[in-house]
Order: sequence, then C-alpha cells, then structure tokens
Amino acid sequence: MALEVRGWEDVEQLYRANRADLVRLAGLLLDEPGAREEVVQDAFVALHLRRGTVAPDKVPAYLRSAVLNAARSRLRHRRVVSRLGWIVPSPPATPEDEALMGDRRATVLAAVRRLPRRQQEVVVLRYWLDLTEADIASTLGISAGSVKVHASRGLAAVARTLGDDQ
Amino acid sequence: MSGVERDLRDALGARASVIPVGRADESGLSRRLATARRRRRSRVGGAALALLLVLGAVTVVAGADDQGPNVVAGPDPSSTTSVAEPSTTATTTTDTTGPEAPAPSLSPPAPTTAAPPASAAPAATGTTVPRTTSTTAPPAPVPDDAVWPPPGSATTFTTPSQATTDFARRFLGMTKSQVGTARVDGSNANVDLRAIGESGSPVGVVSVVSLRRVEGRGWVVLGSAAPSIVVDQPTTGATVSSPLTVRGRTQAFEGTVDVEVRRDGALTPIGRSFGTGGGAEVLPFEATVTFARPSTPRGTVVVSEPRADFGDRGPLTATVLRIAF
Repeated sequence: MALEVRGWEDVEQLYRANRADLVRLAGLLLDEPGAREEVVQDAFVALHLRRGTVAPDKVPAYLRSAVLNAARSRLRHRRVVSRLGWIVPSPPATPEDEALMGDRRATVLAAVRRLPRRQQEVVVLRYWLDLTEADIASTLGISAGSVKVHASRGLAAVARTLGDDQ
Repeated sequence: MSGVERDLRDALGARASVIPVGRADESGLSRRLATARRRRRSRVGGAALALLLVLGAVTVVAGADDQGPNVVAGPDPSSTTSVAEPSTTATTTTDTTGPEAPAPSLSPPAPTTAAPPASAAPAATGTTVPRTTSTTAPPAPVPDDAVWPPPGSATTFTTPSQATTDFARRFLGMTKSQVGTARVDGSNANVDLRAIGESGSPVGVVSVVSLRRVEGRGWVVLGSAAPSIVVDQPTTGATVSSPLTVRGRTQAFEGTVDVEVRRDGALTPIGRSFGTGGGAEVLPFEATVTFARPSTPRGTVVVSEPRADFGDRGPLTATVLRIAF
C-alpha cells in the first residue's frame, strides 16, 4: 500500500483500503473493542498531519507503528489506572468465538498474552502479519538483531507453556 | 517451521478472523481530524501565550503586529478596476465555490467593482444585469462600525449578496459557502450564509449576515449571527481590553467554539481561545482571550464552530461582532 499522501482524499482512500487489517492488528493487542477503530483512525489522522514527511514506501510501516504505539499507550494508561497488567491479545469475546478458537488455540493465545510487551508485538507482527525482520524492525523502531532476540525469546516462552500444558 | 510457529500462526490467524471489523467510518475519521486540529491549535496558542509571558514584551509584540503580513487592505486611490458584475436577483443569489477555490488570500482583496456605490441601490430592489463599471474616484470611507471591507479599503460592493460572498470567503475563510436569501429593508439588509459540504450540499446552520448601505460606498458588513452561537459578552461596539472574557451560549459540534480577537486590517487573530458549551443542547460557554493591545482602534470578535470535515475551508458558522480597543 505504498502511496503518496498529498491530501485528505488520499488518506481516506488508504483508510478504506487498509483499515480492516489495522483494526485486526489493534484487536490482537487491545481488548477494548471500542478502542480499535479509534486507534486506527488516529493513525490515519497522524499520517495526514505529517503528510509530506512520510515517504510513500514507509506509509505501511508508519500506520502499523502508529497503531502499535496507540495501543501501547492505551494499555499503559489502563495499567496505571487499574493495576491489572497487560492483557493482550484480547480474549474471545463470545462463546461462539471460543468455540471457533478451540482449546489449543486458546492456550497459545494465553501464552502470548503472558509475554512481555515487546515480545508480544514481535510475535504478532511475525506470525500474523508475516512481516520480515526488517519490516518488524522498521515498524517498531528497533534493530533487526533486537527483533531476532524478542522473537526467539517469545517463541521459547510459548513453547515452554505448550510443553507444560501437554 | 516448527510446531510452535505453526500453532502461533494458526491461533493468531483464528483470533484475528473473529475480531469484528465493522464498516469504515469516514465521518468519524473526519471528526477525529477536527479534534486533533483543535488540540494542536490549543497547544500552539498555549505555547505562544507562554512565550509572550516569558518575553514580557507587549510593546514589541504590538510593534510586530503592526508590521505583520496580514494587512488586507489599504487606501489605493490609484486603483482602477474594470470587472463584470455577476448577475444577481434582489432576493436570492447562490455562490458555491468549488474544490478548486483558492484559499483566502491575505493580500488585499481584489476589488469587485470600484464604481461609485451611490448608483448601487437598485441592486437591492430589482434584478441587476451584467455590466462593467470603471472609475478612478475613491469611494467613501468604510464606517467605523463595519466589519467588512476593512478600513481604508477601495473595495465596494453593489449588492448585499456580493458583500456577503466576499465576507464569507476572505474574512471568515469559508471557501465553500452558499449565499442564500437577501432580505433588504431600505438601507439595511440581512443575508443568509451557509457552508457547503464535500457532497456539495449545505451543511451546518445558517448564519445571518447583517449589512448596511452607505452613501458613496455601497454595502458593508456589520457582523454576523449564528443561531447556534449567541454571544452575550462583549456586546457589539463594546470597548474591550486583554484579557477579554467572551461569554455566550452554544450548541456547536462537540460543544466547542473557537474564539478569536482580530484587529482591523488583519485576518490573523491577535488572540485566540476556545470555549466549551453544549453539543446536544444549548449550554453556556466562556473563553478568555489574551492579546497585546493593537495599534488599530477597532477590531472584531469571531466566535465560530469549526468544520468537522477536512480542509482549511473556514468555519461551519460564525458569530462576528465589532469591538473597540
């Protein structure tokens, strides 16, 4: 979705074409259904306000990064307020969702939920969006080496959980 | 790929697939843009105020204000303009500027006609026909109680609708607006003004622009009143000083109104703030505007409802009143 953003019309076009994936990304990191659309819209608003400073080929990474930052910010706020800790990804919302997910999937997601924040983000970007290490590094603003470390540790932690569970 | 990686891919994919995405909400997107802009303006205003306080250089600011690039008009007796006047009717005229309409210019407004306005009276009582006028005679001065055109301007308007159109575009910055019914009563007139949305349809409520015909000058704008924004303080013609408290009642989008104090001859406000009233119902608002005393003796208070959609297309509606410093 590399596009030059010259005006609001371009932003609206990008929004219509890409919001679904970004809402799902927000949904994997936030358990506030009402907040998903908001963080996605804020990402597009931020893109518009910074138009001309984001290179066309960097737009996808910019939007993902904006969504992740907004999600992180909301979770941080909630943690401060409720002292409940990170709760990501969101649990199944309905019994129908739970039925669709199955026990094994629920166990995997619970393991991901217990990962440190940065490892969760790397795992979601790697195994849901299928991003390369370079793209993940660009999105998160960290080095490719750090991506490898976070992915490795996250994977190991999930494997341990599944091993314990089996 | 290991078994754990397959599990991760499968579980995350399954979870993502059951996340409800809903429908695109472009209007919500536009509202969030408007909110972001208001916050940014507030931050910029706050930073500017802090800078002023730190510097403590009110006189320096006033001097800079006088030399600003925003002087919109000055006497230009040498201007000789020859333009075709658009055909209008006495009661209704519509002016819809398209997306290509230029942003409000901070340069002196192009005179629409420099004809002696004494002959302009028929425009208010009957249908005018396209005609071309040309003169070198300077018009009579703009009266002190007029908001538009600015003092010293050579611009004259032969019809209330013409003056309203120029006021909407240049003073308010409404590059997409529709001038509606003009109600003329002798030398006084009220003209409806409404913003135009992306679809080309009118949006928001109608502002009523009040005008007066001045001998030797033509029609001048005295102010405007938006039914959704009633300003109780200050009153029209009041002498004000900084900090100025603006009070009133509003039913604007999200209850927020922008409040500006402008000096004559400049479109950029010398002070700016915002107030919060009611969105769903009419509620009181109050805003305090701090500004450096300008060199001009008069100016305006502009209380407006910002547009939620994108574009620097001016406000949705505005109440404008004359003040003295």
